[in-house]
Parts: sequence; C-alpha cells; structure tokens
Amino acid sequence: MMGLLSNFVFLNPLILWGLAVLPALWLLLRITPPAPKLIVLPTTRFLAGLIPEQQTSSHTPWWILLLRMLIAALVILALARPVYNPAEGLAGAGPVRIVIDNSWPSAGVWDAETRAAIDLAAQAGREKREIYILTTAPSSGENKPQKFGPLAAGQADAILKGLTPQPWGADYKGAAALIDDDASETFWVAHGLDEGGIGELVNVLQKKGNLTYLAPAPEHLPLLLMKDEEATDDLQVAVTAANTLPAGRPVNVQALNADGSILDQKSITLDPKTLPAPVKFDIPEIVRGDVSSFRIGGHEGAGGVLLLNESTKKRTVGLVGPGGETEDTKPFIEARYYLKRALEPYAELYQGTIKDILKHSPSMIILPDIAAMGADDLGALEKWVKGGGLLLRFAGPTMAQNQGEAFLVPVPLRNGGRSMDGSMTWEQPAKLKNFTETGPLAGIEIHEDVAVRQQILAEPSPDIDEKTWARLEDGTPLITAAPLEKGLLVMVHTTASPDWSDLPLSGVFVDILHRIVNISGNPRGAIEKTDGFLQPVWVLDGFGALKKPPATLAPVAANEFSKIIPGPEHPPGLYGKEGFQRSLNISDHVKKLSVPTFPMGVAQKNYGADYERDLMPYLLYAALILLLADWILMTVLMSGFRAITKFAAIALLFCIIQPAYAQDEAPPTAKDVEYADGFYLAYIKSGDPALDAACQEGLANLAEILRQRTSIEPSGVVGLDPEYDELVFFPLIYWPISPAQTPLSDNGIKNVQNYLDHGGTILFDTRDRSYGTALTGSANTTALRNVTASLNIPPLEPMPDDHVLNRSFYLLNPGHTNGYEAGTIWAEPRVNGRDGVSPVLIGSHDWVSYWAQGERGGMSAGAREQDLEYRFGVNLVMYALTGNYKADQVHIPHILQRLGQ
Amino acid sequence: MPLFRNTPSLDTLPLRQRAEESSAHLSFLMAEADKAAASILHGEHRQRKAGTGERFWQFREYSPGDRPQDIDWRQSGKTDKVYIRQKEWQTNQSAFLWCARSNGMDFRSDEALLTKSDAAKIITLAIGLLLTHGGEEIGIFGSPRKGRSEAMMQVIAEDLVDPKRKGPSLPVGEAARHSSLFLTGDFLDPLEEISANFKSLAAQSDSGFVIQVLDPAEINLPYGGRVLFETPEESKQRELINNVASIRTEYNKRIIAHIDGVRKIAHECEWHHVLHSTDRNIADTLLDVWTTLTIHTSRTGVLRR
Repeated sequence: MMGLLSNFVFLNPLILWGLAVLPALWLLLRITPPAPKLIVLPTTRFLAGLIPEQQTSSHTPWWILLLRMLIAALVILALARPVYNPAEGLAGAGPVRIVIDNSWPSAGVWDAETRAAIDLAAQAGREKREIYILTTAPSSGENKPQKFGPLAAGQADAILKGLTPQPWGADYKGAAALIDDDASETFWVAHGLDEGGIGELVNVLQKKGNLTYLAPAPEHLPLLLMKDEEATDDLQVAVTAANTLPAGRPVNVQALNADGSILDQKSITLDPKTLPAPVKFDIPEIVRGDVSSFRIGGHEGAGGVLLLNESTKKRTVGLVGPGGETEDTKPFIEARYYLKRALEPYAELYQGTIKDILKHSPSMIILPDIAAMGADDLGALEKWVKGGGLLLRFAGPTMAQNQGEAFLVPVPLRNGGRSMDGSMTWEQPAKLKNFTETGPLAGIEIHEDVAVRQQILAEPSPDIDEKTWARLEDGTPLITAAPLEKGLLVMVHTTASPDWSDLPLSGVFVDILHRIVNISGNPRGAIEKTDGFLQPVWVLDGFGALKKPPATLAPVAANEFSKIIPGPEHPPGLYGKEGFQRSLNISDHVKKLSVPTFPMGVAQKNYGADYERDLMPYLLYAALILLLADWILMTVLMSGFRAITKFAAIALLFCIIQPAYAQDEAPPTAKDVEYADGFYLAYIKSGDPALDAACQEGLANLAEILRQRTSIEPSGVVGLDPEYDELVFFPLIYWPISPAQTPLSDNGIKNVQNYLDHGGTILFDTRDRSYGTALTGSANTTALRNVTASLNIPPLEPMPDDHVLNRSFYLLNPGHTNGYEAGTIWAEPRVNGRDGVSPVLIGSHDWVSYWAQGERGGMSAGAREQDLEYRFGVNLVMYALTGNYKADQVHIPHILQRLGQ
Repeated sequence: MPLFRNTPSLDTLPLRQRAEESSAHLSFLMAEADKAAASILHGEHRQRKAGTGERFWQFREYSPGDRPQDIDWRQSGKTDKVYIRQKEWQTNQSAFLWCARSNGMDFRSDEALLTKSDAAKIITLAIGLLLTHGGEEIGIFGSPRKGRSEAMMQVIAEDLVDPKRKGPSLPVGEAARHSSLFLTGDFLDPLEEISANFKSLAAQSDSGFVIQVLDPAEINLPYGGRVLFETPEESKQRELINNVASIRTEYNKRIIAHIDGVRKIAHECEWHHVLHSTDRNIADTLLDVWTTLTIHTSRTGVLRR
C-alpha cells in the first residue's frame, strides 16, 4: 500500500491546500437549505399544521453534501496534477538524446518502446531540456535513419507518436553518422537485439556522454519465424530467439491461406538450448496447397511472418480430348469425365487440343487413350515434356490397336491388350497389389474391390522395376514412369474409364491423380526464363501485415532475387506476378538472433510494467460523472415524484415506440399467433369511438350470423391500426371511411400495399349512401381518395349484378323488386390470380350500421331488409374466402332453375 | 409564471387612463355577464300579470268598478272606447347584491383562468341582469339605492369594477327589510365568523343566496416539492411545506370540510349555496343558481317572502 502511494506525485502540490477549504464548504452547504418556491395562495390558512407524510429535512441531506464534497475534493485533487508512477529525474544536464529502435524486431515491443520514449520526452520537458530523436532503421522511401531535433517536449511527443516500426533491419552505421549534436545524455529505447554492428553506434554515443540502454525483459525479446533448414517439406518451420530467452515461453505458430484464414496452428514452448525450435505442420492433403504463409500468433512484426513461394497456386492440368474435341464429356462413359471429377478440386483443368493446352503452360498434361497425333503436336508435346512437363497417359482400346507407333511412353509396350475377364479367358480380373515403396504413390491405401479386367502389358526390361509405381496381383506393372530430360512420363496401363477396370470408380484413383498432380510441374525454371524482373505484389508493413506495395517500389531482377536483403527499397513480401511468386522474408538473411554486449559504462534497464500516468483527466471525469449524478438527484428531489413518473412515462413511451419501429424484425407476438390461428373479422379503426363501436358491434353480429348459417366460424373481431398492426392475418378488412380519416404515413402505405399485394381484400365503405355511379362529391369520398391516393390499386368498375359477390352464398338480386339494394359497389373487373377476388371493394352502403342493429325476428319488411343486409355480409366474407368458386359455370343450370321460380 | 396576478394600484395612474381601463374591464364583465344571463333568459323571471308595479302592462277596456284616474285618456281619445292603463303587478321586494373584494379574490392559479374576483363579479352582474329582466328591484348591499332599471345595473357594474375599492371578505352592514341577498365571494374566513355574519343577515332579510367562488388550485393544491405558501392578505401568513404532494390529500379534506361548513351555515339560515370553481363555465353555475331560484320562486310565488 505504501509502495502504491509513493508512486503518486503531485505536480502542483500547493493546490492541495484547497482541501482545507472543504470543511468550510461543508458548513456553508449545510446551513443553506435550497430556497423553497414562493406561492401565494388564499387558502394558506388551511395548510397550517399539516405535517407532510415524509418528513424531509430542510437541510440538504448529508449524503448529497458528501457527494458535493467529493466532487470538490476530486476537482482540487485533479488541479494538483497527480501523476502515477512518475519518471525519475533524468541524469545530467543539457540536451537529451533519445535513440529509438524502429527496425523489424521492434514491432513486438513497440508499445513499450514508445511509451518509454514518450515518458522520457515528458520528463525532459519538465526539466526544460532540449530533445534529440534518432531512429536506427531508415523509414520507407529513405535510405538512412532519421534524426530530429532540437525539440521541445510537445514536438518530441508528436514525433514519437508518429513513428512506426519498419519491416527491415537497423542501419547502425548510418545512424551513427547522423549524430552531430552535442547532447550528452543518451537514452536508447531498444528492442533488445543486436542486428549486427551495434558496437559502432554504441561507441559514438558513449563518446558523446552517458548512454542508458532500455530493453525489454528477456522473456519479451522479439522472435523470428524461419524456414526449417533441415526440413525438406514446405510445411516445416522453425522459431528462433536470442539465447538469453528464459525457457518456457509459449509460442503459437499458425498456417494461413491466401485469404488470411488460419488453416492449422501448433503451439510449442521455446527452450533457449534448442533454438531454432522446429514446428511441423500436419495439414490434410486437400488444403496443403492452400498454405501461403506462417505467422507467430500474437507476435507483431515482419519477423513473425514467413511467406511461402507461390504455394497458393493450383496446378494447371491440360486434358487432351480425343480428336481435339473439347467439352461435352459424356457422364459415366468417357474417361475425361472421371478425370475431370477426380482432378477438379486440386487442379485448374483445361481441355482441348495440345496446342490450346500448351498456351496455358500447364504443369501436367493427360492423354487418355490417345495413340496417334500429328507431327506438330507431337513435337510440341515432346518439347514441353523435355522442358519439365509431366505427361500422364492412360491405356485403352485405341492404344492397344496402335502399338507400333508408341510414343512418349515410359516403358515399351506389348502388342494388343490383355483381357482377364473376357468370355474366352480363364483368368480372374486382377486386383491391385501394391504401390512401390520408393515411388511417389507409396502409402495410398488399396481398396480390395478394385479389379482390373484389361490392360496393356509392358515389355519386360531390366529397368522395369525402377520404373514401376504400382503393380497388379500377378506382378504386372499397372503404373509406370520414366523421366524424359527435365520432364516425366507416367503411364497407367489401363483406362481412365470403367471400361477396363474399376479403378476410376474408387477413391484410389483420386488419390493417385492427386499425388501425381502434386509432383508435377516445377515452375521455378520457368520463372527465370520469363522477363527476368519480379514486381512487388504484396509487401509486409512494420507490424507484419500484408499491404499493396507503394508505386515507388522498383522490381527486382529475378537472378539477383536470392541475394536481396530486405530494406526500404525491397521490403519483405511477395515478388513476381500472378502465378509465379517468390517470397522475401526477414529470415532469408537473418539466421540467428543475439543480444548486444556492451562495453563498461553503459547503463542497462528493462522496460517496467508501469508507466507514468497523468491522473488529472480521470479525476475530472469522475467529478463530472458525480456532478451529473448530483444534478439528476436534485431534479428528482426538487420535483418530487412527479418527475419520476414523468421519467417513467418517457421511458415507457420509448419502450412503446421502439418496438413499433423495430417491427420488421420483431418475432411474432402472442397476438400474432392468436390471429394466425383463427379467422378474425377485421376492421380499420377510424379514431371515431362511435364508429369504431358500431364496427365492433356490426362485425360481431355478422360473425354470429356466419357461425349460425355457414361453416365459417369467425374467432372474433379485431380493430386494426393500418400504421402499425400486422394486417396479413386477416383475409378481409372492413375499412369505414369517416371525414376524419387522415392520409396514411409512408409506413402505413407500405403496410396496406403489402397486404393488398399478398392476397388481402379491403372493403372501403364511404358510408354516405351515395348510390350514384360516380365516386365523387361527399367528404367521405374525398377522405377515401386521401387514403387510396398513394396505394397501388387496380382500375375498378361498378360491379355487375351477376358478380360472384351476389351469389357466393345467398343469391342476391340487386335491381329487382324486393331485391337487395346497396348501391354501386366498385370492384376490379378481371382479376388475375387471387381466385378472382378483387383486392379492393368500394361501397357506400354503411353496412356496419345495419349489421350493428342486430337481427330482427319475425317476418316484417324491416326484418326482411335487415336479413338481406346480413346476407350481403355473409356473401362478402364467403367471397373473400372462396373467391370465384361460385362463379363456376357448373352451377349455372341450378342457379337458372332457381332464378326461374 | 406569476401565479398571483397583482392588479397594479390604479391610484397612481392618470385619471383618464384609469377610467378607460375600468370601462374596458367593465364592458368585458358586462359582456360576460350578458352572455351568461342570455343563456338563461329564455325563461324570464317576470310576473306577467297586472298589478301595482310602475311599468306599463296593458290597455284594457274600461269596465265599471275601475278607478277613473286609471283611464288613459290619450289612448281612449284615439277610439270610441275608453281604456284604462294597467300597470304590471310588481313585488315590493328588492334583491341586494354583494361581491367580495378581499385581496384573496384576485387570485388565479393559471393564466387561462379568470381571477376569482372577475368570476364573482361576472356572476354578480349576471344575476343582476337576470333579476332586472325579471322585473325585480335590485341594489348594492350596503347602499340604500335600489331600482329596476338598466341604469341601476350600470351603477352596480361601475361599483364592482372600481379597482380602488377593496373590501372585507364578508358582507358588513345592515340588510334592508324584505330583501333577498345574493352574496358572492370565496368565504374562506373561519366558519364561526361566517356563521355569525350570515345569521345576523338572515335575521334581517327574507332570503339569501351564497355563491362560493374558488380557484381549482385552492381545492386540489396542484403543487409539488418544497413550497413556501403565503396569504395575499396584509397579515402575510406563511406556511412552509417541504413536500406538498404528501399533504395534498389532507389539505383537500380540510378545504372540502370548509366548503361543507359554509353550505351547512347557509342551509341553517335557510339560504341557498352554490359552489363555483373558476375552471367551470360561469353559465353553468348561473343556471344552477337560476334553477334553484325559479324552483323556489314557483313554489312560493315570489322570492321567499
């Protein structure tokens, strides 16, 4: 505790005397209660002697006082500028030089470096000393390190914050040459490694005066990821570090693909005795080719990244079609089909004539059962194979017939095929025996059920054993191979189609092809024969991230690539062009990391865990928050509980508004489920309570009638708000128009339009009983226009008397004596789809008010009329639910008969 | 927001401006009173029968037994017949109006409301108008002058509007014999004082009507927090309430009890009592008053004798 306190220093300790004022403030606040409001009230007499139920003190409550005292104390403390863990005073006098390592190893300890440097600059500023800053690595675009100074603390701070680590090594010599000032105190904010020739700079600095070397603690020293020199496999890397590293530092190495996704990762623990520590990845064959880089997880900097050569590329494979035809392979019959299926995951496949294929510079060409080709093609193919290509051939009936002119085969072939499964043979189909242990196919698992029925035999020859990669049970070679100059000829002695064997139907086939593709093609030779220059494609920045290179970077001559040392002109990264890429890594030229050794007189320190921290802003923030709390408390206290209820009301309002806006994403509510579960008659609430009540009542009566007379059993009646309610659950919506009808908002229009577009039907009722054929004139029709103006409604026509609406359940006879008269109803004349139900019906009969009157018994004329109103309602609901079902011509004779009566 | 509207002391203003202001205020009050009265006047309170009044009622053909001095010779000269001039039957009872003018009456809790004083004046004037239309003789309580003319209305109105005149919170003075009293005020004085006052007046007069005018804030106390309440009277009685919300119910009980007390006193005097809250439509209150009055009158023939 004492140690913690001693880490505080007040820069303006005099202000702390202000704390002495606090008790006075306490008294002052205590004796002045907040002034009451003065209200003149004639009935004041009646208030005499009334004792409030909650006795609140006329003094400010002690806890509010405490809060305010705390605020005052915090402000005073903040003004006294407390600094936690202050930097010690700097030794000596005169200007200060800060040397900062910004070469590749510094990225991993960059935070510590800059923090230490900024603290040093701040301390120097407090002591009013000038500052010089010197970097050890050239920044990008420069060829020597940078020097700044003399600077004030503020400038130095800005410059230090602007520095970034670079992805290349330090230039100690160049840095030493830049020192021309007379600063005697030097602080070297270092990454802790000697990148070669550090002694030179140390000597120069020591000549100028005192040198303090600040380095990270040994367990934080930078690491380097490098290729495992002893390994043959690309997927073996090694991690190295300075040998002062304490044992037990865990390291996580990740294998990444070109997109930066982690394909695999391995964790190891470093031991300084066994550096570099190898890391072997065991990545499945399928994604093996995708690995493009390795990275030390959580370790920033170019040293923690190892880029691989062009490993991201799929092999290019050419498949020569018989007779040069391309495309249109016949599934399950042709060899090409099986080859394509087997190769597509691993290779970029091109089909065509040999000339076409060679244009794509493939690493492998497959000839399925092709025995003859033109001299041109043959010449080109032979040249390509000799230049490093892999030619894979499959036997077949064609080859069996054309033995004499065998070309480009690894072994001489016997005439004619050998059939083991024909009707004229006694032999059984031969099974696969093994893959030659030394061959590239070694280790592929053999399936028992793979049988070869026919093959082309190889002539026995002394070297046939070396050339054989796979054999059948009887020892005859199935796959043979032989080099041809730089290239390789591979022959499979059976077909790539199931004609001669089961091989293409099994996984073994895929494994074999994949292995062969993997060994095919080595474009290294090809690169060096191209234009001879490699363009930077991707470069690493100081923190080890891949970036597009700046336009100023020059290409590298291919034959000098291996000699290049990463630097500002050639940052580490990928060079080449799409397809042929070579990597430049820090570890290409740095093989060993070591810590510097210093002569006498150099003070060495490690970065501490704690850094100087100005506490003033935090204290001020705390004071501000408390002030806000005080304000809220006072507001609540002053206005009593009314304010709280207001807050609650506002909060509640937000809660209500929020879901309304978030409706699109809202999960179905219990109401929604309920509405979706049954059939509800729905109406749009007009806002006029009397009208809404009439609708509720009218539709409820209609629902009752429906329940009694039809198989429609409405579950209830729902009033809807078109702005917010979900309408889709209701097949029919009754929309009474009142003059008070307001136009819909955008949201409402969207909602209603969505409803109409998805099969809903709305009956607009202008309720003014204007039975004319024009929908104009009254206030309600104007209101209707306001509503429908923004809706996309099809053209409507007055409904003819024989409209299905008049016979969907009851036969209504409009226009006849004793018929049903409800004025003109407008509907869409020819509805496409939707079962012929018009999305919009417009009438003016004010049906709900009839329905709301209830059912009248008896046989009076009034009862008859009332019943007709209900009959229309039944028809309407029936129409909305069944559509043009009753318009069906099937019923016409029956209807005609009834009409005749 | 000034909760209490202090009418500036008009003494200091030039005479002319004062006159204009008060006449503007007068016309406002008269207009309001007219409006309120007009809503009721469909049932005029006139006697509608010949009698001993001063106002002309009708010409009637002379018949034996009529006093010859009643013959209207001018009318009779126009025709062959002899007419006598009948005058309307009129009571000899008069109504005296009183309106409280204490400081407390100038209170209103909201700018949208009338002050209690204005409401009381409008009610008083409207009652005056109604009575005048009904042919009653009216006058100002405390003044012997009375009449049933529009001129008397004007006198009353000017008296009411005169801002200089502050007065007691209770009617002080003698009531005339055979008079009806219309007392309008807030009657917030202690019940004993009110009781003594009313009872002495009741002994002198025939009937009485108490219209108690209160501001809604005086009933509901819609304030909150820490408030120092102060009476508008000279005494400046003060009450500091730390949490008004917590005493609201208790206060409301008290004020209701007081109103009930006033009503009880009025009833003991066989007077009528009507409560008017200034957020209420004056015409409604007036209708209450008038209904009470006409029911009562139709039962007894005239205002209670």
